[in-house]
Parts: sequence; structure tokens; C-alpha cells
Amino acid sequence: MKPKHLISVVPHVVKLLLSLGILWLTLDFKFRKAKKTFEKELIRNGVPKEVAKRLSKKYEEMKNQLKRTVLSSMRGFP
Amino acid sequence: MCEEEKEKKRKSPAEEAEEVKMIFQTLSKEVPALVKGVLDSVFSEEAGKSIGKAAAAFYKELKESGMPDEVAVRMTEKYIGVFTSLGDLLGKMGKGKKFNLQSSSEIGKEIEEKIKEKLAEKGIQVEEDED
Repeated sequence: MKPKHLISVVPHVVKLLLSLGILWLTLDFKFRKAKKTFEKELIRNGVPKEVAKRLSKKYEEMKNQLKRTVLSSMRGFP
Repeated sequence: MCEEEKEKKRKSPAEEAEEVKMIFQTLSKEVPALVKGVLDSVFSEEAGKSIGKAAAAFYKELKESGMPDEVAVRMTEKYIGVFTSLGDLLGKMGKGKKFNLQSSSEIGKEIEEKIKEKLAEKGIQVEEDED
């Protein structure tokens, strides 16, 4: 395959990387809304406030664990 | 005769490049959409509401059945972990480990099918790998 043929692939690779980058950067912002709604819903359904706070911390831990795992798996790529 | 057939099947560099371009074109469209779908199913506002509702119901059931508070909270934390076990899934995909979760192979199959569809539209045949 000649280099001029590979050039046609570059915009799609850039688009893919940009899309994934944007998803990564907006994850925290989206999660903040999700966490608020999660906590509100717990309290609305009769869970005590302290328990709701503890459970929403766990929800956040899951998000952080996901980010750590994705980063560590990227480091594993050659 | 065999050699002639092989010559016919061999793709020109331009055809190969077109095939690679189509693959990346499809990947650049499908992969972000798939990842967004997976993340939204757990870390969006609607997902937060559903998971909150489910967790609250689970916690209340445990309390009503006489479970001590600390135990009920810990079990509910584990319950929330089930919804958000994406970390394990993506981590294992990244490290190339084998795992049996159906969703990962389904995502891979979906991407493969989309690529084949796009290539078929362009009239490019994909050679199947023999396992």
C-alpha cells in the first residue's frame, strides 16, 4: 500500500480519536448530574441521607475505577 | 489455472486502500456510538435515576427483612457494583484477556457486521479467515 493511499485513512483515524477523546473528557461532567440524580432518587425513596451519601460515593468509586482501568489497559497496548 | 485464479483474486493496492479506508470510516462512526451507548447506560442522568430507584428498593427490602443497617448498606453497595461493572469489562478487553461476558463478543460482532455491510456496498468482497 502506497503512502498516498494511507493518507485517505488519516481523517477517519483522527475523527475516531477525537470522538473517543470527547467522550472521555465529558464523562466527569455527565457523571456529576448522574450522581446528583442518583442521590436524590435514593432519598426520595426513603433511604436515609447518610446512607444515600455513602452509596453515591460508591457509585463515584465505580466511575473512577472504570477510568483507572481504561487508562491502565491503554498503557498495556504496544 | 490455479495461478490464474489466484491472480484474479489478488487485490490491487488501490482496492486494498479503499477497503482499509472503508473499515476506518465505519470504525470512526460505530465505535464512538457504541462506547457512548455503553457509558450512557450506566453514567447518565436517566441511568442514575434508575439505578437509584433499584438500589433504594433493594435497601428497603433488606431492612424490612430485619438485616442490620451496616450489612444492608454493604450489600446495597455490592448491588450497585453489579450495574457498574464496566471497569472489569473494558479492562479485560484492553489487556486481551478472554472472558465470557456475552456483551463484549456481541459488540465485536456488531462492528464486524457493519464493516462488512459497508464493504459490500462498495462491492469489495471480504476474505473469511479460516480458524
